[in-house]
Amino acid sequence: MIGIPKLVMRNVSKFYATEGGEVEALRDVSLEVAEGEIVCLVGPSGCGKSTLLNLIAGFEEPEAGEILIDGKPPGKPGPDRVIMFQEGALFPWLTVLDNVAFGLKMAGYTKEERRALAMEELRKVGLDKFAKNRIHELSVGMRQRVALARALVMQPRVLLMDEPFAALDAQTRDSLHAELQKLWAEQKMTIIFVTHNVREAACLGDRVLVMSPRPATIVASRQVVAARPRCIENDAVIAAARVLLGDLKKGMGEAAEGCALPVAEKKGAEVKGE
Amino acid sequence: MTDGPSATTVSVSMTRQKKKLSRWNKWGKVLAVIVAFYGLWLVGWEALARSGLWPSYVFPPFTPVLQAVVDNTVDGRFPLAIAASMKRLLIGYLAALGIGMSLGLIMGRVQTAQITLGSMSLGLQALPSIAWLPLALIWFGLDESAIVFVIIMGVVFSIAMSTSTGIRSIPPQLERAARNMGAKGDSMVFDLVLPASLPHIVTGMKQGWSFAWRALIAAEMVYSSVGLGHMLMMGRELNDLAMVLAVMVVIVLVGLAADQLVFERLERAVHARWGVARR
Repeated sequence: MIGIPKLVMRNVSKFYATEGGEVEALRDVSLEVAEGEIVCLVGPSGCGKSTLLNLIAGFEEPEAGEILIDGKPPGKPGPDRVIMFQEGALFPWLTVLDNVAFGLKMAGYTKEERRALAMEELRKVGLDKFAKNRIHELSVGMRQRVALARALVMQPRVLLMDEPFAALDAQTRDSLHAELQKLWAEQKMTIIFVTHNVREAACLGDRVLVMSPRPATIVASRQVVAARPRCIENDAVIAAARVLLGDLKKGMGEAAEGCALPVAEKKGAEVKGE
Repeated sequence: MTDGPSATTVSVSMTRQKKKLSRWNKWGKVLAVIVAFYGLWLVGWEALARSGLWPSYVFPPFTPVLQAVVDNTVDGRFPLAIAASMKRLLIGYLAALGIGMSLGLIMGRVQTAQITLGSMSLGLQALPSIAWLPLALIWFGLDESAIVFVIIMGVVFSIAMSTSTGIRSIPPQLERAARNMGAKGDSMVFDLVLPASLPHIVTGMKQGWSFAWRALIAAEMVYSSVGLGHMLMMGRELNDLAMVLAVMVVIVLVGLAADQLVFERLERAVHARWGVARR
């Protein structure tokens, strides 16, 4: 990596107090993310991936370790690190346009400025015709597009995505994968993308970090080298996903039984360990 | 084969017509049942009252009641009474709305307030609002403000509790998203918390209105020199049961009108806009 990495986590641990005692969510997690990189975090459900995002976003603080963004601690949640949630978390009382403009309003833009910027962003995700609609009038896929526009309009330095496409049908998800890669190619923001789907991780990530069940540690870091835009059905992506699945199973302590895992070297796919 | 499509079209339009007709029939039936029910009721009332079993000052027929409604409306006594009652009601209701929503906001956002003010609201909600009148008369004297006070006490806790319930049922992700995009302090309250809990708040407003209406009539009956409740008691003092019943009819009509024309619509509109199913 050249220069200061965008995001650094060093030996980060996080505990939660629950009724059944203290739960260790993250143990000794260290990672670095370069400016403009897409890093996917893949791991079993409930392994603490979302916790990691919450720490970066500033909603929670680690018990141990250090988080640095551009060499500085993250501080309070702010629009420089926008989270996109699985359920979209859109505001039902606002129109599509006003949802996208919400962050701009908080940032003190005038009504005209924020409407213009929000409209521009809606155009990018192909929803400018729905600007006046309410959220409940849209399909789930369209809602996630609105959520994406609402995040991107803030021009965040870091975009945090918490399983944003997990609830979508396959076709919609595929088209959002394509759209995300297109938008990223234009804006080159840093993306940290959490998913439990190895194919999705292989499709979107420049790099994929594989996590173990709780307490989560990073068990593998894989570079995915394949031409963009990728789609989930690309051979290269499928091959890379196999490798990731092997890592995942190893991390879960299961033998990768019954399913041979060829090291991907098919049709331009290249998966490197680090 | 050639007449295939047109035959289909014809049959489609026929089913449509049938559907329209059956919907009309359904509405027609509902209407007929309602008219028949109230018609029978009124005829029965009239017949029973005119049967001579009871003297008319104990059980007047329907027609003099209707006459009393018309007369009192035409000579301006009902409009005057309604205006006086509505003025008190609106003052009390609006004040209760402001106080109740502020209380509810604090209860919804501060855990300690929920434990303390929340339990107090629940307790005082159990007190029928007319029970505040003796205290109000001692504090405020024989004054309009005593009645307004009784109305406020009847409404304020219901508004406060529905507001705090609304705030507590905001999905945490919405608040996180707002915080993430820079909402804090005032903007958090006005751009997230209040709009997000508005469906609950309007339901509370509707309930609060009916509480206010009851509190008002009760208070006016006990102590007032003008208003619907006062007219009710005046009818009793004059032994004019037709007048009493006429006032009761007007109370029902005014209450129903406010509920259906204002609050039902408001609730419907808010719930439709928010996309929440009506409970």
